[in-house]
Amino acid sequence: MHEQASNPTGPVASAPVQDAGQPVRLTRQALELDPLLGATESPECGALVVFAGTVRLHNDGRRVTAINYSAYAPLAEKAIAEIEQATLERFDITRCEIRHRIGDLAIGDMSVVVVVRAPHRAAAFEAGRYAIDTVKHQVPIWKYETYADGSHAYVKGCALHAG
Amino acid sequence: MPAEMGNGVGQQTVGHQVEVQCFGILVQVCGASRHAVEVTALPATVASVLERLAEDVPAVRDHLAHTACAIGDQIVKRDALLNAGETLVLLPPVSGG
Repeated sequence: MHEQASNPTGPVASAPVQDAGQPVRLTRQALELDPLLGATESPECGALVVFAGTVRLHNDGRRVTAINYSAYAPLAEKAIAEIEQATLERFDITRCEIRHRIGDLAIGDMSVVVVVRAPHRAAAFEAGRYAIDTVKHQVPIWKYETYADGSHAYVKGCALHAG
Repeated sequence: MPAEMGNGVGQQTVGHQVEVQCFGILVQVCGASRHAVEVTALPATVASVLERLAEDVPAVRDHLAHTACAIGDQIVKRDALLNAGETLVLLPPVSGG
């Protein structure tokens, strides 16, 4: 994944988060930043850090043409919620929202988004880094890559803590 | 615990099937995302279900040391008990993000 980080300072449009019910952290829909930015707006915060992971053209020396993300949804949704909470408790931040897309993605599509708002930037950057690193290690999601030569492979990953 | 299990532990149910659900590389290794594994007694330990799966699909054995197991939305240890109607979910190393 390419890493993108930004710290915009201008006002952002207010918008509802996804729907009126529980936030959906795992989705098959294209990820959209604006609703998340709107829903997390806070006058107490001077820092907004957004990390987005996007599907990269190459991996491990091979040309990637597409990726399928699969997840064990009951646990993935819960694990992401726990990472949001752990990030809030660990850093001096006000909001942490994480969304991960599953299904078939094309090159350049956003696969994961982390939005952190905090009074100050140092904690926001640290929290964003912690959140995405933890997602990569603890959420039951798997990448299945398709390559230019027509072959496929699951990407090697990180073992969950087995009991 | 399903009603038919009564007070459960130690109760023998011959020829019961347990469903195993695979993700990631284990779908390839096992050839499908779902497998029915025959166990002689229920509840069955996770370890015993994994052993039966490895007897059916020997190639899975190489992956088990790095595979976490879940029942519902809980990651469970190998000595956890699987009751009738529950699915054992196998979670190989993850690669989200």
